[in-house]
Amino acid sequence: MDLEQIWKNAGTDKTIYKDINVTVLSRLHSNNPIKKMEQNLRINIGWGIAVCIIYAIIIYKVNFWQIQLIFCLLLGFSVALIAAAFKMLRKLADSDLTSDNLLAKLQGHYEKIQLWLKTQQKTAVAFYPVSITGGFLLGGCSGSGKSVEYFMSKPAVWIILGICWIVLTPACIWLVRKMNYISFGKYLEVIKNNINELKAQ
Amino acid sequence: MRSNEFLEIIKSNQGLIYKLVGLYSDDEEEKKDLYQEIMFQAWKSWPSFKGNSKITTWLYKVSLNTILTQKRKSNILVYDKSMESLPATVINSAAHRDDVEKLYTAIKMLKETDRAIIAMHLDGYENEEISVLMGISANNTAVKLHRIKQQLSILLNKL
Repeated sequence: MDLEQIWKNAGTDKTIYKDINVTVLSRLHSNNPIKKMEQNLRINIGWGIAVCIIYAIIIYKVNFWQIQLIFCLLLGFSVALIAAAFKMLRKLADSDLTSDNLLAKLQGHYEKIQLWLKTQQKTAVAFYPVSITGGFLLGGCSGSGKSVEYFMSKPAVWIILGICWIVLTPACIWLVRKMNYISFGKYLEVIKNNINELKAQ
Repeated sequence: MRSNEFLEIIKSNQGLIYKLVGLYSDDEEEKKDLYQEIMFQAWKSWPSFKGNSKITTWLYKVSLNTILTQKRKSNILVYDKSMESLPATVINSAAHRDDVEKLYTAIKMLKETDRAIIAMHLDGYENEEISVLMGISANNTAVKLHRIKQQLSILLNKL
């Protein structure tokens, strides 16, 4: 068998786009995971700004300094996250697939996605306990119509808040990890495997 | 017009892109998606192409980098390390096929990166050129190519 000749004959008669033109090209969009992450980041930044505005309104409207403090912390976190998202967006932006060889491209791709996933998890660890406390105090005080001092003076409330921290924080972090694994787990395994295969002798 | 030149290049090299896409996907919809993604990436990179390499080499680079960084459905044909036995379904499905399909079936049973290396080799690329595109040493390319050819020979004899 002359493999070269057989290979040369393969697929040469195939045409997917018979009428390919500039209009078709202008309508094309990328489905590359990095591109999708970029889009998600932009959406997250938009939501982040909206959330910051809501936090600012709550800080302005609420009379309890404890709740204001918690929401100030949340606002600070959110601003830091938006700044981190902008920084990450710049890192993801260089996605020209012809700028490197295959091994370098795969490694770059793998590192970018890992960085994104780690950032998501770190955010979860830092953000959720404060967020849970803020929500708990706001809900509790506005629901009962009492001050934070009065609301938090009962030991049972502290126990419930503690249970919320213990249950909800790990649950949210687990959920973030699970969702990340569902979205990228197998994909990352394939990329890692291909990197290892290329490096192997 | 650069865009017209690009379209002509894509039109005349559709076969090359199609061959590569076919090595990494069995699903017709996925093949079309991969093809579109390659076109998109090529179109985006086209202004930076200065003609320092052959146009087919550039297209190879765009195609392979795009395909292997794309989320794809898992391949049904799983590479069997021992290669002692091929699944009966694979043998039966390849039994009445022509040489092109047999070659395709055999290459698709190789590891993903090995498929790229053998495809370039069969398209007449030198080890040095393959190593540059893959990002590995020429020596490593030669070693891999030797092993891939052995595996391919065994697979083709069994099909």
